[in-house]
Amino acid sequence: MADISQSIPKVDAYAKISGEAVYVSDIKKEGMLYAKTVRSSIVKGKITHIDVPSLPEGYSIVTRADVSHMNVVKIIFDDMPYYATDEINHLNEPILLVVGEDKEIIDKITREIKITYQEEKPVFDDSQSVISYAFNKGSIKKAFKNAKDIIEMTYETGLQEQAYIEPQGFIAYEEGEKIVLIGSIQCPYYVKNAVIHALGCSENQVQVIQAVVGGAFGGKEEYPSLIACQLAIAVRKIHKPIKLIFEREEDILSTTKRHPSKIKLTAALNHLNNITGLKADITLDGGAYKGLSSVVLSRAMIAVTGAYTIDNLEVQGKVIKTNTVPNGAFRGFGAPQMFFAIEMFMHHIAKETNQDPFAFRMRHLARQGDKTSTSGHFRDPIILEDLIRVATEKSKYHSKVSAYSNENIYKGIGMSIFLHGCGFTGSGESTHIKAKVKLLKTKEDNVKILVAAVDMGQGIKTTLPKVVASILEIPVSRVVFDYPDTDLVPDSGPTVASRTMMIVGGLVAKAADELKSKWIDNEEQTVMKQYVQPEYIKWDESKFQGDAYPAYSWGVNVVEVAVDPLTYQTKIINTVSAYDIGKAIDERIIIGQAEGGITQGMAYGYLERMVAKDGKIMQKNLTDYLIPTSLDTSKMSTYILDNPYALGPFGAKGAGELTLIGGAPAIALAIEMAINKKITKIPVTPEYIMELMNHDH
Amino acid sequence: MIIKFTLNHQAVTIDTDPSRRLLDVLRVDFNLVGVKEGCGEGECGACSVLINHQVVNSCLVPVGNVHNKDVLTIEGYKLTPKYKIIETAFVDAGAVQCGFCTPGMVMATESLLYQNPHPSDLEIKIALSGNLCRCTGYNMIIEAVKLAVERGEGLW
Amino acid sequence: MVGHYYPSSLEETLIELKKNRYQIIAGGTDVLVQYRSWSETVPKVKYPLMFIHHLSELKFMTENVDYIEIGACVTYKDLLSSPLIPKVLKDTIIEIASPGIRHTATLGGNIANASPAADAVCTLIALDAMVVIKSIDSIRTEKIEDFITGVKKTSLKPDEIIYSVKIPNVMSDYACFYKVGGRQADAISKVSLAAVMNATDGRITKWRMAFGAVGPKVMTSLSIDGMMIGKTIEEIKITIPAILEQYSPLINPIDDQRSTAKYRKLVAMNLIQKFIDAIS
Repeated sequence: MADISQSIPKVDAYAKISGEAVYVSDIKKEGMLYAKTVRSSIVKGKITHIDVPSLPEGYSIVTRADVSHMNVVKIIFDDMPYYATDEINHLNEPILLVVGEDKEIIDKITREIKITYQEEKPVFDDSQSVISYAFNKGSIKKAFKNAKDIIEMTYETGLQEQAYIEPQGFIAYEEGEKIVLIGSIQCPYYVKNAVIHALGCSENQVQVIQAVVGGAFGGKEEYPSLIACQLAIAVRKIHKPIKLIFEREEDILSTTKRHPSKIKLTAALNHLNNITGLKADITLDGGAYKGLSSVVLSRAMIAVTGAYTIDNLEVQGKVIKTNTVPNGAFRGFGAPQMFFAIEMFMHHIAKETNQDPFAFRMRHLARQGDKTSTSGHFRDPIILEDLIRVATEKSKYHSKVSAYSNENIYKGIGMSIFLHGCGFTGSGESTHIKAKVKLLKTKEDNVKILVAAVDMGQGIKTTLPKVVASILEIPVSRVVFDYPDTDLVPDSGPTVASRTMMIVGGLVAKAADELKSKWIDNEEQTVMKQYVQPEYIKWDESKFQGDAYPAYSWGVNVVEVAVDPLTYQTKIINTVSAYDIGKAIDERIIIGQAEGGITQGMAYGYLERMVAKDGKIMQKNLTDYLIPTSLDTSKMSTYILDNPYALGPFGAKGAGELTLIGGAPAIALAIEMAINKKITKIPVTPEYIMELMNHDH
Repeated sequence: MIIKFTLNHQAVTIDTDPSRRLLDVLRVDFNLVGVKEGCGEGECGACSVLINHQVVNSCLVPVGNVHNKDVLTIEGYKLTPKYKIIETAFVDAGAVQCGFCTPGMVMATESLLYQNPHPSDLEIKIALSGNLCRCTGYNMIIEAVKLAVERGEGLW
Repeated sequence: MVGHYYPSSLEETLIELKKNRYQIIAGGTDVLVQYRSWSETVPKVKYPLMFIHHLSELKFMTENVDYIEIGACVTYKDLLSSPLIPKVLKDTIIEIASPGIRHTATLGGNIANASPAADAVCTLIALDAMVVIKSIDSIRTEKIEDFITGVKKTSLKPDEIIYSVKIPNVMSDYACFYKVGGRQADAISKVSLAAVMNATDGRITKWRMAFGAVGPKVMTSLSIDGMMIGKTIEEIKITIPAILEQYSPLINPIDDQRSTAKYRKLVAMNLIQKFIDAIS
C-alpha cells in the first residue's frame, strides 16, 4: 500500500475552483426574506427607548421581546445575550433584526429606527477581573531563594482578526415543527445546542447543516451560535425562510477576535545560568462577554514554559472584562500570545546574562519523560532536536546569525521553537465532548463517513476518506463524506483544537478497522465508535495538575527579514519550518496548512494591527486591517518529520493550530536582530520599529 | 437604463439601474454565484470577473459601465480549454483550501496570462496581489500559475 | 430627482451637466466605495450618476513638443502600456491598488477624488502637470496642486468635468516615487514622496517635491522647492539637515487608523534624504 502521506487531489477542489461549491450566501429559498441587524451606537449604557417606524406589510422587527425561552448564547458562561438586553456592553452589540423581502425597504427601516440610550462610563483598563486561575509546579520559593539572577520582563500582544474571506452567514427556515439552519460554521452541534437552549425546544426540532465554509480559523467556532439563535427566534415568529449574511465591516466590528494579552514573566537563574523557576502573570482582555475566554486562558497558562522544561512554576492568569467587542476562538487559542512571550523571554534572558541564546534554549528543551508545566508527562518520543537541526541547516541559521550580528546590515534571522497540545484541554474530550462517529456501508459497498467535522479549507473532506479508504483498501472515490447535517451525523464534537484528525480521525480509523473485520459484501452495515480517554491520562481541572493533553505536536520556524532603515518596513526574505505532527495524512494538504499558518502567525507578529480606541475598532475593513497579499509572502520551505503517535490514525497528531504559533516570535526575533533593539510587543509595526530605533540614539 | 453586453459569450440585454454593482447583477439577476462577495470595497478580489479580458473587482463596477462590453465570469470561463489547464494546475499544486478566493484567483490568472503568457515570479505575484487568500500563504497558488504557464504553452 | 445619465458624447455630457446636478462616475472604484450601501442594494449617491467611462473623447493620449496630454478616462492599465507616459508615472501607477483596480480606475478619477494620499497626484504635481477643465461654455487649465483645494475637495464646479491632464514634455534627470504603505501591495499610502530634479553642469535647474498623506491634500511648495534652484548637487548633499528643516513646515500629518503623525513626519524626512542620496 502506498504511504498514506502521498498526496491525492482534494475531493472538493474541482467544485471550489469552478465556482460550483455552494456557500451560504449562494443559497436561495422559495419565499426567502432577508434580515439586517441593528446594532448599538454606544459603548456602554442603557437603552431607554427604541423608536420603530410603522412597518409596511410583510416587514417585521425581531427583538429580545420575541424570545420566549433563554436570551443567552450557550457557550461556557451564559452571559452573552443574542438580542441585547436593556444593558449595552459594547459598541455594535446586536439589538434587533429587521426582516422582510426587499433589501432596499429593510435598509430604509433600519435607518429610520431610532434608539435612545443613557450612556454610562465604559471600562477599558484591567480593573474588572472576571476569571482567574492559578497553578504551581515544584517549589517556586526555593528556586527564587537560591537564585543567582532574577530577570523580569513584560510582553504585550494585540488584537488579531480572523479575516476569513467569506463573512459570517446563515439561512434558516421551518420544516414542519423543525427549524433548519444552514450556515458557515465550524461546529454544527454547538449551533444546534445553542438553538435548543434558546428556543427551549426538543432535540429533534433543530437541524443544522454546514454549507461550504469559506475560511474560519476559530472565528466560526462560537460566534455563529449567536446569529443562529437570532434567526431561530425570527423564523419562529415569521414562519418564512430568512437569510442573514454579514457585511465585511459588520463582521470586523462585531465578531470575536484574538485576545490581546499582557504577560509578565519573572525567571530565577542558578549559578549555571539555567532557569530554575518561572513566575508568570497572564492577563487576557476578554472584551464585553466571557464566551470562551476561560479556556483560552487555560491554554495560554498551560503553554507557559513553551517547548522547554522548567521545574518550578507559579502561574497566574486572569481574564478582564472591558467594554469592547468580545474576544474568542482564533487558531492557536491563547498559545500564540504565550509563545510570543516565552520565546522572546528565553532570548532576552540569554542576552541579559551574556549567553548564546541558541545554546541557552537548547539546554532547556523539553525531553521525553520530563514533567510538563502542569506536572503531567511528555510520554512520547520528542524529536525537537531533529526539527531544530533540519530547520537551522536548511535556513543556514547559524551562519546568518553571525553574518547579521554586524551593525548596519538591517537583516535578521529568528527562530521559534514550539509545541501545541492536541485536542481539548484536560479531560474535555471525555467529560464534555464524548465524540461519537459512525461509518455506514451501503449495499453497493460504498462507505459513508458520518461525523460532524467541518471542512473549512483544512482538507478533512479529503483526509478522512483517505484514512477510511486506506484501511478498507478501497478507492477513495467509494468513501463519501458529505457536509455534516445534524439529522444524519452523530456528534463527533466541534471542529476545533487541532482535534479533528487525531480524535475524530482516530475514531473513524477504529470504526474502519472494525468494519473491515466484519465486512460482508452487498450488505448494509454500520459501525459506531465513541471516544474513550486513555486510562493513563489524568487531569485535575481545579488544580491544573496532570496531563493537559493526550499528545503534543512540535515545530520550529526560522524567519529571515530585512528592515528598511528609512521606512522601518519589514520584508520577509525566507521562511523555513520543520514540524512533527506524528504523521501527515496528506503531505501537500499539511504543507498547505503549514504555509497558511505561518503566514498568519508572522502577520500577527509584524503586520496585522487592530486597535480598539475607547471601545471602537479603528481598522474596520480590509482596507485598513491589512492581511498579507501575494507580494508580502516569501518562499516557504516546510519539512515534515514522521514521529507516529500510537493513538492517532496512522500516527497522526494535530496540525492546524501548531503552524500559526511560531510565526510571531520567529519574526519578532528576526526583527530584533535586524535593528538590535529589544522587542517586547507585537505587532512589530514600522511605527514601533521607528520608536525603538530612534530611542537612545 | 437598457444595458447590452456580452455575458459569458452570450449577448444579453437588461433594463436596470446602472448604478447597481456588477457583482449584484451577476449574482442576483443571472444567478452567477461563483462570483463571491468578500469585502464589497475592492480589497479582496473574491468578486473578480473579466471585462474585455481584464480582471476587475465586480463590486466596484457600476453595471452601466459594462454597456457594450464583454463580461466573463467563472461560469463562462470554466467551459474553456484554458480553464481546464488552470483547474488541473490548482488541484495539483494544492492551491485550494477554503475555496472562497479561488474563482477570483482563476480569473486573475487568466487576465495575467492573456496579457503575458510567460510571466516571471514577480509578475505572477503582482497579478495576484489584489486577490486575498487567508488560507494558503499564496505559495501554492503561485506554484499553480507557474504550472499552468508550463502546461498551457501555446494556449495563451 | 432626475435619473442617472449615460451620455453618448462629451458634448451631451456637458450640456446635461449645465442643466442638472450629477455625481460624475468614471471607473467607479472611488465612487462605489464612497457611496457603498448594503449588499444588493443600490449605492446611496447624493446626486444621480453621470457615466463617462465609455466616452472615447476622454480616452486619448497625445504628445506634442510642449505636453503629453492624457484624457481623463484613460485607465491606469492603459497608461502602463503606453510609450508616451514618463517612467516615474508608471512606477507610481504600478504601486497603486491592485490589477483589478488599475484595469478600470482612471487618472481623472484619481485627481477628482482629491485624496491626500493619492499616489498619482503626487507624481503629477512633481511633474508640474496641469488639469484641463471643461464645461459647455468654458475651458480652463489649472495646476493640479491648485485644482485640489482640500480633503476630497477641488475647484471643479457642478457643470464642469476634468477633460485631460497635461504633463510638460520635458526629460527629468531624476524622477522618483517612493510609496510607504502598510504592506507590499494593495495599500493606501501612509506617506509618499514624488520628487523630480534636473541639473545642468552639476547645478540644479529644477527641483520639485510632492508629499502624500502628510496634510489635507498632497503637499507641495514651489517656494521651498525654489530654494534648491541654482545650488550644486554637492551643496545639496552637504546641507541635508537644513533642507529637511526647510521642508518640515510643509509636513503636518495626523494620527489615524493607518499610522501615526510622528511616523509619517519622520519617514517623509527620510524619503527626502533618500532622494538626495540617490542623485549625483
